[in-house]
Amino acid sequence: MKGLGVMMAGLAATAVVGSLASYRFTQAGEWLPRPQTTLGSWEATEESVPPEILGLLGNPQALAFNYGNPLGDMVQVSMVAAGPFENYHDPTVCVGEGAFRLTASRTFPLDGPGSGNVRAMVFKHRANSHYRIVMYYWQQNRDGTTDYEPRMGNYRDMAARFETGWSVVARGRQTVIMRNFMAYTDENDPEGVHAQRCVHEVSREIYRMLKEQKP
Amino acid sequence: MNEAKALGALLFRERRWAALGLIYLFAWWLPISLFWPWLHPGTRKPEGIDGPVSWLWKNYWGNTASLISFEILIPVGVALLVLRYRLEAQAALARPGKKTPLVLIAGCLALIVSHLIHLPSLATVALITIAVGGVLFLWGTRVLRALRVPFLYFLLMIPPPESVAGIASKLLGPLTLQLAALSLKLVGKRALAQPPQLLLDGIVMEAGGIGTEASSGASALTATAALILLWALMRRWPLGRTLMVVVVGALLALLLNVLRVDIALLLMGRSRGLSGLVLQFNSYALALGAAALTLFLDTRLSRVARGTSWAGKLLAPLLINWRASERQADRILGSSEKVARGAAGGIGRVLQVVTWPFVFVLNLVINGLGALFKLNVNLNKKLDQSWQSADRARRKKKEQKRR
Repeated sequence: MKGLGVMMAGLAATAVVGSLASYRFTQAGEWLPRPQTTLGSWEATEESVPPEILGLLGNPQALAFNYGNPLGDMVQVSMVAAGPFENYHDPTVCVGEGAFRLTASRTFPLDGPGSGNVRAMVFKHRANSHYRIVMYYWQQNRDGTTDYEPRMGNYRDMAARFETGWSVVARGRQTVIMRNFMAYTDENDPEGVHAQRCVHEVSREIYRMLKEQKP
Repeated sequence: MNEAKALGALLFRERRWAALGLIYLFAWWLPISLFWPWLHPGTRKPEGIDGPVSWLWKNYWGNTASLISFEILIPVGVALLVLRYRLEAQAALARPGKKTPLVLIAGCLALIVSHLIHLPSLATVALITIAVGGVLFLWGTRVLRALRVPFLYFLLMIPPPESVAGIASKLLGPLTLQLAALSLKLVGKRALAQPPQLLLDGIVMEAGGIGTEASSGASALTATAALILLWALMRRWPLGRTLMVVVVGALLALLLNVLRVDIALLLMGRSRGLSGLVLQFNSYALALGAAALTLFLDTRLSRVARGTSWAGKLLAPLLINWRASERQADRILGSSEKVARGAAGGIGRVLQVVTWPFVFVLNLVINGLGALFKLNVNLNKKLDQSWQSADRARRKKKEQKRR
């Protein structure tokens, strides 16, 4: 009977850790600050996130904005509160395996040296190669730090997933997943410099805003 | 009746399994969402926070078109196999062997990690390890060895990497379409396969998941294989026979799925609703049909072959060759199993299973040649006999003339 007791204690401890993990993951998805509607010369209009997209992401809390400037440029911003891992959909999979193809990817600090790193990507449309999008992707934690690695179910993402799981369960970390992008054609913006400048400007302001939300 | 009593007595004597089973089920399910209103009153119940069962249901089991949706029924098969192998386990209880908690601890740790990274395959491996570790810790190595077949069958619950499942569906989808078009051409229809479309006399079939996971037949194929494997393990068939029948069953499932696509396409011109219904026909039912047909053919054809009807005469050489292949496969697998166990242990065994299809084909060739050779021998014997009898007759005639 002693063996049975030990075994039941082991399983019960595992169940308790599992329950705690589930609870903490849910708590992690409860932080979603609302950005300012005016960021310098950029004015935002709020959009509703389509239910099919929300369903694909496991119905997390999410916000979507279109930031426009007086020149007519439009940067689309989506913010998803990161709870369980199904909320983390990486653009290289969701965008890069559909109508678009990933052609460039680079990581750099968003707001100068020492600031959080983000991943900038350029996607080219498969059917119309003139049509492209430049996208900034990062996960911003409530403590001000950022991550940019994918956290999908592939085996190569396991280290990043473990790091997130540990931080969420042991340290109660809360995170917002950011995807900001702008569409352009290589006829109007051959190198995509203007599009990147627009996305960078909006992303930097949102990054600063989220950083100020520290607990 | 006596057997049921004996089983009841054994379950009562070893009643630790009940408490263990209950908490083990809890580890699989972990229904946090049931307690959500109490944990977090007034908030929306989130998704994906329950244990491994909820992750597996969302990713695989909830979609019957999924390649591995059949995995949800594996525990039933495991329970049946445990009952089948209970006498060996009962005998092993007298001398339980070595007991260790290490496997159990490893399983618990893996389950904790899986809760941190929400990976269904790791959670499944962890939970199977916990089950193995539990038996090892409570009843010892001999009982575990006696129950090795149910536990090996339990391994079918581990989801394969999504890339593997994706490749299987991507390969089978176009193949099904090509076979469907070919079979329609054979009956005089003008069909053309252009994956992901199938065309018949101006009707284009695409809706309802043609060429996708649903119509690729992958789920029916895997479910059929799992079902036949369970049957073979319950019947304690030799490994060679088991593998051959599993392969035939899987092929039959593929052909039945081609038939389903054909029927759906033929119905499309008349009733789109009915056609869609045929396409969405549950894969489990298809698998059940394919498995039943395979087992029926396996058992009944040999009876027909033993008979004296024209069908029997036609089937007999085929089945003799088939059975010879099965015996040959058993012999090769059996003997090389010993060699592999001695030489390289588990790796050797894995290699053996991996190379099995080549051995199978080789067997067929060898047996085919053997059959041909036998036929030649028989022919020669007949010819010899006829020549000898002709000689005898000639000699007799000569002698009669002399007299």
